[in-house]
Amino acid sequence: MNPDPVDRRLLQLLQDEFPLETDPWGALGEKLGITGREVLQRVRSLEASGVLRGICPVLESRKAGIGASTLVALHVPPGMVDKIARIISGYPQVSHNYLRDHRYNLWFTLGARDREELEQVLRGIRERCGLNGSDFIELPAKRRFKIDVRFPVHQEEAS
Amino acid sequence: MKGEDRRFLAHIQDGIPLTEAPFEDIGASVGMSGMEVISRILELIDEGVIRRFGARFDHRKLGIVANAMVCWEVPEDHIEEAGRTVSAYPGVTHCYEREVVPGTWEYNLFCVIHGHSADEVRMAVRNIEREAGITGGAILFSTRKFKHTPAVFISGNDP
Repeated sequence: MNPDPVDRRLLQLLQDEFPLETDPWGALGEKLGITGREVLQRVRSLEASGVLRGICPVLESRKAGIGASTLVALHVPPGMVDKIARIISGYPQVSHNYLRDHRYNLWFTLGARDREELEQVLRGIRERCGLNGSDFIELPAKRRFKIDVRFPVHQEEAS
Repeated sequence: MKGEDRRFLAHIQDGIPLTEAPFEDIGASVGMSGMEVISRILELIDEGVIRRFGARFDHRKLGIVANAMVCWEVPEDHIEEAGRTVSAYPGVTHCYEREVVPGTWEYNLFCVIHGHSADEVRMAVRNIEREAGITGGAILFSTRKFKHTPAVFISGNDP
């Protein structure tokens, strides 16, 4: 799908300035110069097309029960990638799991209630995947500078 | 987080319904008025449990198809300034200082950059390095996504 200019402005507002009001569609419509009914129709078709995944709260993990989290990098032989990736993704504590073009080719993040649960998951993954030594490195965060997963949509037209 | 908040967030974490009066509809299923739902969300934002409230996109469908994790080895006395500069760059969604594994993984500053193409990401890395006064970034493009879910998932059944 190719969002038209109004869709793009709408997506930008839905992401950055969603109105927490009883009639959010009407409030958005006023900014866009269209009716609330049209806003809702556009929002529904943006969702149907898969561009819009949802309008939701983004939670601060540390305040929402995730007491321990980390990043892990693995060096996995190419023929084993699918099998090992499947094992890792199967853990509900794993949120992201990506293949990357580096000697350390499989990267995943996980969050758990506390350090103990985290260690338990890591131990389980190590054993089930048969990875040891420098093929399995854990890189916990010392300091967060930024987390803000938002994208410019509206400006795209200009480029 | 209180059990009551947990149940509330479990209910809205996947997104508001795309109906004419979404907050009233949420309220109807949790025994609150629409205004009460909105007030509760605003309180959770004030408390820092909700980091932001708005749309989540499938950014690939908007043409933002390249993403890389970029890692640098930055001296301790420069990392604060470098981290801030990297974070301010458009397209950077995450930036962390992480622990190193001596002899195996010496990179301590990490970011994730998104762009429309690998070339755009590489150019961003060059600009970031110039602005932040750092060099030698390892660019790890993601080549396959095995899993990508929000870092926090609240089960309504938890205590």
